[in-house]
Amino acid sequence: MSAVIAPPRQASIYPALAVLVVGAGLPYLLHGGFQLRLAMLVWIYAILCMGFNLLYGYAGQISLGQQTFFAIGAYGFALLQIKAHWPAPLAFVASLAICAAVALALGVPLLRLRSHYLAMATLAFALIFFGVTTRWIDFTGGSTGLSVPPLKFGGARLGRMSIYYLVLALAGAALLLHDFVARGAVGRALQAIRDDETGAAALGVDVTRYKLRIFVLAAVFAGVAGVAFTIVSLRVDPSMSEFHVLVTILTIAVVGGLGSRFGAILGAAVVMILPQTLVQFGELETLIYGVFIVVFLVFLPNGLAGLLDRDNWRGVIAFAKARGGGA
Amino acid sequence: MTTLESSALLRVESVVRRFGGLVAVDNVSFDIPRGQVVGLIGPNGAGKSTMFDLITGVRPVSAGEIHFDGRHVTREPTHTRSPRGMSRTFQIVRLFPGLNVLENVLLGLHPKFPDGIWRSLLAGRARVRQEKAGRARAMDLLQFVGLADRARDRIGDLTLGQQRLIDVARALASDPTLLMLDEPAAGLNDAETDNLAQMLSGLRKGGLSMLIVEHDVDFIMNACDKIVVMDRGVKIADDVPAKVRADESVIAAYIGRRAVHAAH
Repeated sequence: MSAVIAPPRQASIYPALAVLVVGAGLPYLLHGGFQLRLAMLVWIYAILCMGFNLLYGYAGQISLGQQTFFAIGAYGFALLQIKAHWPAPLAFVASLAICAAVALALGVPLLRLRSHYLAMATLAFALIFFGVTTRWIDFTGGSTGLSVPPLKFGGARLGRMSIYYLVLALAGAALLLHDFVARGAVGRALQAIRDDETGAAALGVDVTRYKLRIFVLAAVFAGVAGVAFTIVSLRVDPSMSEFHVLVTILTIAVVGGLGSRFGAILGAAVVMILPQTLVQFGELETLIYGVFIVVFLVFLPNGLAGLLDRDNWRGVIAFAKARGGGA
Repeated sequence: MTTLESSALLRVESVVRRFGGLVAVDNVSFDIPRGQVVGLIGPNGAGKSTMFDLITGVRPVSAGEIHFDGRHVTREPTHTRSPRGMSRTFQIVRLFPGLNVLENVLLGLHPKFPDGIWRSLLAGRARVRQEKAGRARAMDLLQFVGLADRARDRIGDLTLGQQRLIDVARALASDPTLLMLDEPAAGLNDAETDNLAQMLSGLRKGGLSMLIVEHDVDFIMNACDKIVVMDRGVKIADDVPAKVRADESVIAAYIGRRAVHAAH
């Protein structure tokens, strides 16, 4: 074996770091509180969808209850501060632990099964949670929700910029963890489970455990997003666990590209920002948005991330080379 | 007898598998001595693929025992059997279409990587080294099967013959002590079959134990040290190729009674 061909390298961490550098510079390019708020919303939905991407895009397990974990994170963070008077950092960690525990309790019986059981059960769980938050008015504040005290540091309320960088730090941690999973052996095992559970098990992948791990991780990602949302909006209410949040998650997944490294961020940016720019069309806004989504489905089945994937350009590159060679 | 039994790598003892009222595998026993290549043949519906699934744990046995490498593995799930050195390919190639060729072979190394997200994170630089070593090993295996130049390609871009070779490369990645091939020559053309036969003979010379299910009689007669014949769930022969070839009951089962009469 003299002429050993070098194996293709593992994907590098640098694109993820570049995204964070852009995120760190963003406040200096934006004007006013509204744009900064929108940027924070993009990061929050990116965190939420990165969890969903690992669960569905990589491991092929569809949960229709990610919006509920989003709300559980938020309610946990709010209630532990308001009712139990816990400091914010402790409430943050505890609310993530609650998300993980709930996911574990749901996942242990469900993930032994294949196909649509997870989707059905998480949907039922979402409906129950929504019912409880709306009707248990003494504890959750009902449909008006709860207002959450603003974050303080050394007695002073955190400013807009500090909150942006706090949200960015959470998104950065999520992005690095998402990327770590996506690039490595764990991501390969998840994709193997998605493509063929029996085949994966034959190679030594503990299918049930991996499905459980990633379901719990996705719930924790959703919980982080929920806490971040609460820090920005200073309130929680049952609408966080409503169906439209789930639709937004699915739209981001489709627009950004499922099973890709940066689809969640690209998708979140487009889906959060585009409706704001469409407001000028008045009544036509929804129609234009709808057409836009359909166009995405038809022409970009791999989403925006598909545009970054060299594999999808092979035909174009080959065509260009053939033309270039012929001239 | 006792020495032969204790040196067996795989021992299948009185294994039964029922599907409702149908007995797919009926009280079958055989063993694979270390370093030997054993063929498993029989007409369609003989229970060969079911036998494979029972040995690897894809399906549970209804009765009987399976011992691998001196260990009773009958109750173990699939995913713990393969890290013990049992590696298989599937009759219908089960590569992962969402991963490229190299990544598919890398999955064969899965048990060598840290298990789960925490352990991967905690492994730190060791994980980076493992990934690098794993990629080099996967590339060596691709070179062994002659497909190193396809490392980045999608599975869907390969021919069936190439996909089977990738499947074999992936099964070899974990350094198995027993390689189990389920109809490796199915759907291959003559050139591809010769290529595969050569590769397997190389592995046999290297001392790798194998269990091969195959329809191609010439292929299996040349490739194996001994042959187990099944018919309708029952073992009907277990001997060296030359004797199995001459066995009346095997010929009757395999070629059909009419053909035997015609030959007489």
